[in-house]
Amino acid sequence: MLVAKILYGLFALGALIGGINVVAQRNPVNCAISLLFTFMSIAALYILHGSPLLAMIQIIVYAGAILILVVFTIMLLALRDPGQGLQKFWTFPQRVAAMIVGALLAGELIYVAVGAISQAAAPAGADLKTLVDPATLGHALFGKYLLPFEVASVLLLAAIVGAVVLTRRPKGTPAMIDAPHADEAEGGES
Amino acid sequence: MIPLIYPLTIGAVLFAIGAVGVLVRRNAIVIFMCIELMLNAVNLTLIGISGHLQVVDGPIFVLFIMAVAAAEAAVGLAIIIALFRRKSTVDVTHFNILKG
Repeated sequence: MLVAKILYGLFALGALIGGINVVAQRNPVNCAISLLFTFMSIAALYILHGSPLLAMIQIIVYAGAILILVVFTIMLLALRDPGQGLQKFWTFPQRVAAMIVGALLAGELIYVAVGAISQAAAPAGADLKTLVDPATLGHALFGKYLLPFEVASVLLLAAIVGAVVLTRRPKGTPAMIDAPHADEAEGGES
Repeated sequence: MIPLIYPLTIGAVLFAIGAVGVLVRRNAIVIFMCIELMLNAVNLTLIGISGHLQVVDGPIFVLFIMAVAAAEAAVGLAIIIALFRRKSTVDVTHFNILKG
């Protein structure tokens, strides 16, 4: 069990470092790679919590689908200056205020968690390994949670349609406004 | 067995990091990534708690959160592309067009 705890600490540290890098890195591509690091670390934490299926789904959905979409969008937008949007970014008072708010938020959440732990006693004879094997998960998903499952599929369909509608450009507009700066190019479309 | 305080603490700290990122960053894509970070923190918390209480509901909710996150990724990135097409930037300080 000591090995599990050491591994847990290692991957938790990886997740936290990746998360801090997502916020701190200047280039969006570096942010995306840090986010990938965090996703992988969290997948490892899922395995240590005894749910390998969710770890695989985490890698497939987050690292495989969502992150690819993000990187693809960064590539598609081809931001001319990688540091674009960072000129006004590190305004000092705002940074300090955000740090204070974040620290307060983390402290509050941990305080609530510590308070909740004392009430949530683990059932006797808990065996983590048998908890979330794929069969149990599948029985719950297609039995008790069948209606939310179907609603989720409708939600995904709506998201597909919404993405197509949002990115469709009106007839007659150029493929991309080719001005280096936004404000001059405004009014190009009705 | 891993103590319950570990996933709860890590989830809280990751959530706070994501919230700070949303507050501080100006790039819309990075803000989007920070939102994904917060969703992941919640997922980790759910997995930890359901592992502790020996219920299967936590992983199910994590599955649904992942589905919602995938939908959110599709729509959110489409919105970012539409915004970029309009203003040629993804800096959110330029998008105060709803201000009267």
